[in-house]
Amino acid sequence: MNRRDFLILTAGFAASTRLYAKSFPDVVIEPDKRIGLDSHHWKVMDAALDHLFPAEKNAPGAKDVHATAWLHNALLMPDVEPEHRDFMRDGVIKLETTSLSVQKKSFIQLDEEQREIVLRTTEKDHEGKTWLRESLRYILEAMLSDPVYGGNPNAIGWNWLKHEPGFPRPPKEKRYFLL
Amino acid sequence: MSKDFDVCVVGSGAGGGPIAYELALAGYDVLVLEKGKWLKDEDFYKDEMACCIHEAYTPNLKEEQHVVETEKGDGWRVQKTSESGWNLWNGNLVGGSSNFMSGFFHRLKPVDFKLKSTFGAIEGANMSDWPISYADLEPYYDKVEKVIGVSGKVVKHKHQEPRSSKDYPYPPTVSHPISEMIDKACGEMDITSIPMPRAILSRPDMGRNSCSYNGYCGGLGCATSAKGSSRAALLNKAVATGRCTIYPQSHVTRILTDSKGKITAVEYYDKTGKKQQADAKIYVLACQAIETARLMLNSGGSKHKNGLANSSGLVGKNLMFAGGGSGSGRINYAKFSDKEVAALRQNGPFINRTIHDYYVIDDPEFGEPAKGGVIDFVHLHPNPVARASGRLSKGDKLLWGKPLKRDLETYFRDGRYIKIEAFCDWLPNPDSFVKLDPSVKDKYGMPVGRARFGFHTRNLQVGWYLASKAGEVLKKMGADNVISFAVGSPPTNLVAGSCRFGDDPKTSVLNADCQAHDIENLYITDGSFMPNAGSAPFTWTIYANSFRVADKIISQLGGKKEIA
Repeated sequence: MNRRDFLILTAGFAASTRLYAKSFPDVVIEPDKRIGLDSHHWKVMDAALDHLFPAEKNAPGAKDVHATAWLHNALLMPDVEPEHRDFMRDGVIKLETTSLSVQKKSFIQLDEEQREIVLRTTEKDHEGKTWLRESLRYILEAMLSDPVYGGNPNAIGWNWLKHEPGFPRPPKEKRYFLL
Repeated sequence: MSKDFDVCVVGSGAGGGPIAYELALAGYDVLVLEKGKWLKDEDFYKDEMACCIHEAYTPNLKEEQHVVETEKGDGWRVQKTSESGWNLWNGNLVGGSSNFMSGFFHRLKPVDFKLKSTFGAIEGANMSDWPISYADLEPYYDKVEKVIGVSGKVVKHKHQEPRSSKDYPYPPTVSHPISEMIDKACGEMDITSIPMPRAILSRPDMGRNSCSYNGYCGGLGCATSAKGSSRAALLNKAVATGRCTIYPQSHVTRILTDSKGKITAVEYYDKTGKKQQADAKIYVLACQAIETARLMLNSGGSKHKNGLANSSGLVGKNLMFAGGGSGSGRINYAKFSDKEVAALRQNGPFINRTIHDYYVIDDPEFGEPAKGGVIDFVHLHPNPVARASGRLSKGDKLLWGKPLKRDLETYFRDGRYIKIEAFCDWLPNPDSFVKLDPSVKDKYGMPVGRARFGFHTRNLQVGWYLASKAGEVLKKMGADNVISFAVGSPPTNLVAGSCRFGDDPKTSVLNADCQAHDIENLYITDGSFMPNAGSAPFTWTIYANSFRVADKIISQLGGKKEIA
């Protein structure tokens, strides 16, 4: 990937985050085809992340930090291995397959208790457990990374956990991929 | 024959910086080849994405990696670092990994220079006394205090090493309230708690700013130049003389020799990817112990059929890290007043406490008197994603949903952890080495280094002893959840050995001046030279030895020049 493509990608990162927050509260609706997931599966991912880290009145959740958009865009960063991208893709597809098998419904149609059962079923499989851990890690990145990267809006995650960031903090032009 | 430079230094970290600085100040023309970029203070931010999640300061492992061998039953598990969690690069940029050190600075002690003759041979360990004494290195430890800038306070204790200066040139950095709690507990246990020396300026000096106390030191670059990195403390000043040239993004692949075995040039790829050569009168390698050995093994020649300066067959052998133990304890805020909690929450001030009482263990419960080590108490690194990611498991299951959120709230908001870092010798042994991998190559087409991480069981015995002593201190001060344990896995940010020095060319690669026995115009000044690496982080020793070797090179070149 050359520098121009990279800058377009990072611009897209900010744009999609903004779109996600204001216009499309449920899901990234124009998923990048390089990841290989359609809108339906992104809705499944969104529902899974929401269950793994639910929003509460005094404690932000995955939706509050745009975790689905974060994950979508993180998988397109140049240093992400294609194998990892495929692994995350396959995990969502398998989750939906498990839901259809165990609960006879799409994951997005399940209530909280049913979602927990499907996710715990997924956890029993070694790869499923790894996929869940990776998904949780992406939520934590979106929750606790510097807001300059598009997550943690208004430092909502840091404030929740009373975390003091270091300084100086990275400006936009000094994000890691521009060093 | 005319040479481009007087001295060519490969690598710009703690081993390379003093050579460039001293030679340039002495009037000689120096070239420094560094495989990474030249970042400045203004490029360093407290950014977990850059330092740790995406590892922006080390090469892409698909292009440049290592192979590691770790113990598995009676054999060895072989893994490429691109396909495992290992990464043996420690920071590839001008100044090397000294940009990212925490700067916990300890001298070695006189006993470290004569370990074998003091305690005798240890079965399964390749012990050897040093060809120099502590007294030979002391003036250079002292020089590092003044030139790199070491802050601290001398406190009398039973293993205090001799010093030529009464105290440190800079007062200790500001202490966290936990430091006083450690002092009190140690006092009650008749243990000496010492303010830990740090390679961090506690006041502005030498054109560098003071520490800004933001709590994010280790693993992250310093934006104020307070941290005594090779870049901030040495290379900036070397370049300012007009006699030091740095070629960043220049990766050295081979060292070329003539029919007599003398080095004629280094071959490197410049930032455009073009193959180049540079020549000098004297060559200094300082790429850290693994990469230095790999470069030598990749550089043959008619006189060096087994690799550069490898007539002893010892290049790459006796690889060492820092042995020891670890642990932690938690200070729960519920036991303290609101005012005290506000003070305890601070991230900026350092804990900075160290114990040297067990540098030699004379305890019947342990056994015969033996070499011990240093205990450091430090803050847990504050990077939030890493800390939170460590909370994702509960037993065999993953934690998620509201239970995870409640756990994170308690973990982050209701207390803080004190970390134990206990250091002992990583005993050199036949199963700790680096060699060339027979099949894996880097993007330049050169074989990569393959390191075996075999450790001696003594590491675990001493590491456990030290960590458990530290755990007792944490319990005494009222910490909860205290755990302590020995560590067999190597901390790969502290690497030494691989080209040990000594008087006998059959049993060492370098002579006492860190000049190769086999090649008069080759010196090595990273941690490779050490026969044993001490029981403490050894960056100060690498700096000090490099300053010592710089004097030897200046002497070989004819002494300091008159500078107009």
